Amino acid sequence: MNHVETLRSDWQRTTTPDRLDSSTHSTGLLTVEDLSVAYTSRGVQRQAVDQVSFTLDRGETLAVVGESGSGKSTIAQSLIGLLPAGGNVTSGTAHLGDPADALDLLQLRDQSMRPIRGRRIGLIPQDPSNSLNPVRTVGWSVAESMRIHRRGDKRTRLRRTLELLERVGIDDPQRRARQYPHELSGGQRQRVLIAAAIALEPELIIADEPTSALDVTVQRVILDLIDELRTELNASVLFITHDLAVAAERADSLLVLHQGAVKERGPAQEILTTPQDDYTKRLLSNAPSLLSPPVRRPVPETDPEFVVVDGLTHRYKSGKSSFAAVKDVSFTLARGSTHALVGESGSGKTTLGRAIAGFHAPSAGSVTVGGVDVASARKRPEFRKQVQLVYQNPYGSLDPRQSVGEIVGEPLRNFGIKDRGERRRRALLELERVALPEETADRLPRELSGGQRQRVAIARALVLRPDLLVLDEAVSALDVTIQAQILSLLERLQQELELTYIFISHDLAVVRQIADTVSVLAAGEQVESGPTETVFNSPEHKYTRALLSAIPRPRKTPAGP
Amino acid sequence: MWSYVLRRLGQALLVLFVAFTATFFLLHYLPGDSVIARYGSPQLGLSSAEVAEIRASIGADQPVWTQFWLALTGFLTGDLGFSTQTGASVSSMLAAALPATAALTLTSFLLAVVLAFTIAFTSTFSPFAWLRRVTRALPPLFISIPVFWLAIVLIQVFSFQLGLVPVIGASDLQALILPSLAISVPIAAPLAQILVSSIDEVRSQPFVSVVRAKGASNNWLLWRNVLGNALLPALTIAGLLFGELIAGAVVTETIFGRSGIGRMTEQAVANRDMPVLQAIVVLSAATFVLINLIVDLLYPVLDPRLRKKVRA
Repeated sequence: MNHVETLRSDWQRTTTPDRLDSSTHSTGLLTVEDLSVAYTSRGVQRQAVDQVSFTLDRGETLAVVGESGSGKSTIAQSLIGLLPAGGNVTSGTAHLGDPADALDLLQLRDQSMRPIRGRRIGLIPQDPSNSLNPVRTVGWSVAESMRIHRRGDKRTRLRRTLELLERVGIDDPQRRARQYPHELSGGQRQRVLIAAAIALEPELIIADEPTSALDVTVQRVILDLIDELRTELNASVLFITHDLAVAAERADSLLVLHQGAVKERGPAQEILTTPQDDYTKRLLSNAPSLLSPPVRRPVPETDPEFVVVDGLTHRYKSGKSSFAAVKDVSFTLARGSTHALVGESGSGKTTLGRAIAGFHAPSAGSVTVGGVDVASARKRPEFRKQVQLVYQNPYGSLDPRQSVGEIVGEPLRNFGIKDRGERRRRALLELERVALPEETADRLPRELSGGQRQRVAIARALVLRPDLLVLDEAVSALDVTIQAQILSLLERLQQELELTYIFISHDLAVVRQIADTVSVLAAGEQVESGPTETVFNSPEHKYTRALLSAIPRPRKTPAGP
Repeated sequence: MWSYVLRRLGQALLVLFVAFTATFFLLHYLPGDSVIARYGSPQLGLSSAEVAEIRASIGADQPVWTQFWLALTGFLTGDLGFSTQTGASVSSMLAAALPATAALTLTSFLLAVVLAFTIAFTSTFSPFAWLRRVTRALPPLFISIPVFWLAIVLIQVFSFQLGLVPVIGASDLQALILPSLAISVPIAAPLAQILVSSIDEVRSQPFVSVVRAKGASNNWLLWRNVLGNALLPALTIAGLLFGELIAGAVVTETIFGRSGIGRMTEQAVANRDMPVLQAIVVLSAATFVLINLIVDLLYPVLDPRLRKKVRA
């Protein structure tokens, strides 16, 4: 608590006095009424936020929960007056401060909004990887808002910067302050961004998906930090997230948003335990949960050693130094079953998946698929027929200028099927298999939704009739409702075609739902491996336990009726 | 760091050698040569035996490899040979022409940079939408203006009609104005184009909205955040545009009647004056290589992400 006290005492002298006075009177900080926002592009108006009202009390956390396109980020952007081009507030008020002298944020012009941004409202952005100016030092970025608002002189700013960095848990602030963003990890960058956001002790902190780009263990630490700072600064947090579990764990009250409209609003506990609205219910049931393990059908026993990974090691070499991304991993996988590779970023799970799919030869050890050694078969075209990959980002892995039909049929062309009509016929067959309507074949990838694109990617992988699919974070970028649909599609396909899956994911809840067996990877090492239920119910390695305990869970219900 | 610089210098020397060799053989195998161009005219009344004698006196009758070797060793020891046309030493001709051209190209370049930045800032940060649209149309317009045409129009308008810049008896400074303006316009165009698109690109990055959420003004955003990120691509183009400067000098020096390397090039080409051409090509290549070496060394200064690679 030591640095916390210095942080307060040192800075309070320069904070505006009205702020301190007002905090003692009332509890309402932000009152939003009938907020509507529309985007206009090419003369067409689209309603993004539709008559949203809510109140945020001082010291409280309100989570705005919704899937992509629900308008949750638009609400945040309209509050700080930074809507993207084409966005317009069409109605509503948003009063910040005490009723007596509250400012309507939506009425302010850019000029009068600037003193409020950074000083009274702090923003913690979504993606730490590109939210810091890459050519400025970290310390510079933290001090920037103090310089913009002309706080203190150079020396006090530097001292304050170091204090802030230390407060958010950056080791060796002196050295770190002089480093550049690319020298920091994602979690450290998010800490830096938090330090920058709280530099002027704002009364309102808008956290826009602050942890969706981070690993679960890092996510937990960052969320804890935001919670602590909220208490210390008596600030209110408007927490924007797609993740119901995170919202449930961290927020006092929830606002469930769907297609711009409020579906449900109220105390977090109430909404989670007794949802009233159908959409909220669907959201809750679709969210993969650790509490209710799904029932897996028994693994077929046609070929218990269909995939054998034995002592696999993969080293990346750069110049004289080499780095082992995967160290001595072994597991066996039966035909028709799913093995999950779980780990945080940098754990080597993607490298392992690519080695199994034969994209690179292992440095040591071996992989056999259906009794064939991958290292020797991987350059043969027949092997490609057997093993296919599906990536996380379907938009990046689909050629934007090809129609869906061409994309799905393309692998056939590489295998000598020259006839366009034949390729199209087989593409349509696969599209039907992944439950896409026939007319999708003539669309372009950008005309499809994220879930539809992922279906296309799966159809393309299936067109060669492979036995093994390596799914690399294949559902991670999708909203929960879409995610649930793709997961059940994958299960159906597995049964229909007797497919074997290597399922790479950082999301333990999803893994528990789909995988029969699991390997937990940490820094390239296989720390634990076995049947999913065993690993989840009685984890042996401390890293697995840390991963499991980092998963957000709703707060304990206070003892009640 | 130093090994990087040494490696780059080695590459630069290789480029120079290739440029020298290519020029030498191209000029050698082109039909006609400097001796014919200078002495072959029937009006001079020289017999073919006399022309052959002149040829022998300057070593032009020797086998091509011997000539190449002599020219190369000459260049390495600083002896650039003598102009076939005037008989003057090439190094003294270069020394006389260089300062005027250096002044012209430098002024043009600075002017181009100022012009490009003005266009780029106006078309991205101006508060008036119509002004942004108008300035955005300028680079494509500028790039399609030929230097020789612009030069003639400038003389016509500013010297003959408005009388603002004297054509005869102008001071050194006055004589620089119109030619450098003529060169700078087509150079400013691609530079401005790149700047506009990289400023647009940087402005769409998430960190810019984070800075705006800190309460930054447009000026703060432009000068302290966007510009530093947008400079890199422009720097690359600036290095490559140097070649344009030399080409521009050839045209403008001829049109404006300035003496300089450009004028010298024009005359040397007309007269097939090979020693002079050889020297000019090597000089331009050397400057081009040097400028791009400086550009490469500036990258890590501007972008910390590139520093590690250079050190390694």
